[in-house]
Amino acid sequence: MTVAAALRADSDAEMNRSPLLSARSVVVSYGRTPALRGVTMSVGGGEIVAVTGASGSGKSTLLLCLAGILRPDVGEVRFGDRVISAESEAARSRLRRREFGVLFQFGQLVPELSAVENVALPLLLSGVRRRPATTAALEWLDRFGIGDLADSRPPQMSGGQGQRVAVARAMVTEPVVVFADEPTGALDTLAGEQVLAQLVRVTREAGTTVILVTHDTRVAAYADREVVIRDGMLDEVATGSSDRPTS
Amino acid sequence: MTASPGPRGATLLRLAITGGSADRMRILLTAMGAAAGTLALLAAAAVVSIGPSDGPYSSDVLNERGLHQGVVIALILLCLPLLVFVGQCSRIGAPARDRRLAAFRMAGATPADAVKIAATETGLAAALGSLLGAGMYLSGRVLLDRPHLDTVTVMREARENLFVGEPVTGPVWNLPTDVIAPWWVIASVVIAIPIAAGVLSVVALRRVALTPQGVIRRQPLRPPAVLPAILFAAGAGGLAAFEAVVRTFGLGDGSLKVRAAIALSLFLLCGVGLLLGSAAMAASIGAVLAPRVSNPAILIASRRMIAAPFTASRASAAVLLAVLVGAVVQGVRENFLLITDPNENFYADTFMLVDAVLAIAIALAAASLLVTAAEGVVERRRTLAALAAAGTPRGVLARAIFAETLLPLAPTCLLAAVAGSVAVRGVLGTRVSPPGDSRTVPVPVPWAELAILTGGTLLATAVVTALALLFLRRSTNITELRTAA
Repeated sequence: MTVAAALRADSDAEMNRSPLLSARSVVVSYGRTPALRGVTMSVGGGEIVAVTGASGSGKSTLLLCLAGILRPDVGEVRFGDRVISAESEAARSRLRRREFGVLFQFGQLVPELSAVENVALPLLLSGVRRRPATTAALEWLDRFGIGDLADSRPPQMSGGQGQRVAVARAMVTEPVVVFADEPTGALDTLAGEQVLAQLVRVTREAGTTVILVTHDTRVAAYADREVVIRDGMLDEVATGSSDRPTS
Repeated sequence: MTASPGPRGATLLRLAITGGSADRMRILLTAMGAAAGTLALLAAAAVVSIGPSDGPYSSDVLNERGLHQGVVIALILLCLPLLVFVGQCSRIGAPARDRRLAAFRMAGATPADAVKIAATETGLAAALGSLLGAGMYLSGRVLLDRPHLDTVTVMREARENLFVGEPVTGPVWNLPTDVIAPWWVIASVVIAIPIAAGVLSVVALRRVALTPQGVIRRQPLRPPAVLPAILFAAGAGGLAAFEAVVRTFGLGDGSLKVRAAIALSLFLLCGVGLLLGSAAMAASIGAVLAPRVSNPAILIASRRMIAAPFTASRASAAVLLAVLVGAVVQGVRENFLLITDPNENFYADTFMLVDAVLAIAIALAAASLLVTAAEGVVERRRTLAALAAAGTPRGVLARAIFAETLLPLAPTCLLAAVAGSVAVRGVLGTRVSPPGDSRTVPVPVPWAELAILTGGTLLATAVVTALALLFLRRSTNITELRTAA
């Protein structure tokens, strides 16, 4: 059993139930501006779901709600049997640290830490000692083919390399769900496809659920299912794309 | 249409004051610093203007003309932490200002134009502050001019080098509000401060490349370590073995002024070495801790200390100066308690003034630290927000910010206190003869005072860093994840 798996051994039983993650009648407003207007959806274990929509449609807000980062004004978000939208900030933080991996477009790595320290950080935060945390982080960097960048700091890396470090950090705790908000939005096409292919490969190997927010149809094509948000409402649900790239 | 070689004054002014809330905060704090500086310099000018027929005052340091020089030096020295404070304020909203300057460059401004815009902003803020300070001084002079009837003892020169105390009964002033500096001195201070602020901002931008793509700050990759160590060792060593230094260089017969000049020079060497070396010390502490710690807060803090040692040293400069001077003052006080009459008001008043100046200097140093810590949190808000979103407890981030401030400061503060103490004992000696006693007695080390000075300074630092954490909740807000900087 790996370090990360040991951390959440006590809650593994919950993960086998279906649906893994669900939102029911979720409403979120920023001041007077409605962002989500009663969204209901569910995601099964091991599924890769793309949430797409135009800029300002509410797709990132939906991701923040599903990840427990943002608490909805109305409605509930469930993870297994837990109603996470009703839990405290501290409990949701612990959940994100142990069960979820979070990936943003840019700026998520601590610029002063080396790549290996950035990847090891979630394990250190969970109380794992330095040596095993570093070993696990190095293994993940190797899996992404960037083991040679272990001692480099984010400002010394290209955008693609930095984003692969970020994916490794999101995966190091072997999370149940990875939430990715436009993970390739700041990369060129080639680097973006490489990062995405690696993300899909490792999450499929690990049976990890992925919620992928994107406005790019090429990125959405990697998903099993596409959920389209328009003006804060679920517009349509399309099932797996037939021309999905092989990963 | 005729084109001038550069932007006109009105254009510079308009561009200089264009900015957001962070820019307005920077302008406000710069103006406040300039106002305080003007007030200190005009107060010094008022002390210089005190004539034999003015007063008397309730404080002996104002009645005794021989001490006016010391009061003036103390007030001018107070401008040093003020200068550090204003320097720190110039960092507020730096990323937003950098983007604005880059946008000006993109729109066709030359690098010199961009520097002029930045200098105009600082100069303008300082001019406002300078006028405010002069206004405060002039109105304060009228409002506080409340002499009361009392009897005070004023030292008068009976004959050459012989002073006798003479009781004087009549109106007594608490402050020199009965005198005013000549108008041209007041005008010079009001004009000099904004000019100096503008020039300093130009000097501060000398290592900065203002390009249309952004602002690049050139900093040495490694902080200097050898030169500061040599300066510190030479200064502190020279002060510790002061008598030997004086003898070695054949200055044994030198007057008190020569000895004072040598002591001051060595003290300056020691202080400059300490200040220049604090960045290297922060980086070294970080380098020792970073590869070893498992605690994520200490790991983040120590890596920050390695990556940005100048941030830590810039913030702690005024604090270290205050502790160094404070340690010297405690040593001098201990010495004076043995060689003078403890009931003599004259010395008590002098030390009270020095303590007040020190307290103000420490408060200013703490304010500088607050600005640095708060700006550090705001500047890194996207990274902090992403860490919080990934489940990092805010407590860990808060402890990292605390550690980043206190880890490099604690040992350097201790070093400053030791250096100050050693300096006094080296120069004034470790044994003295009490009045009316031919025997010599040892001068005790003021451990308690030094502990209060060092501990109190670190406590004040911890408190202001805690205040900076008020920005942490806002900076880890999810909305920060949607912004680019």
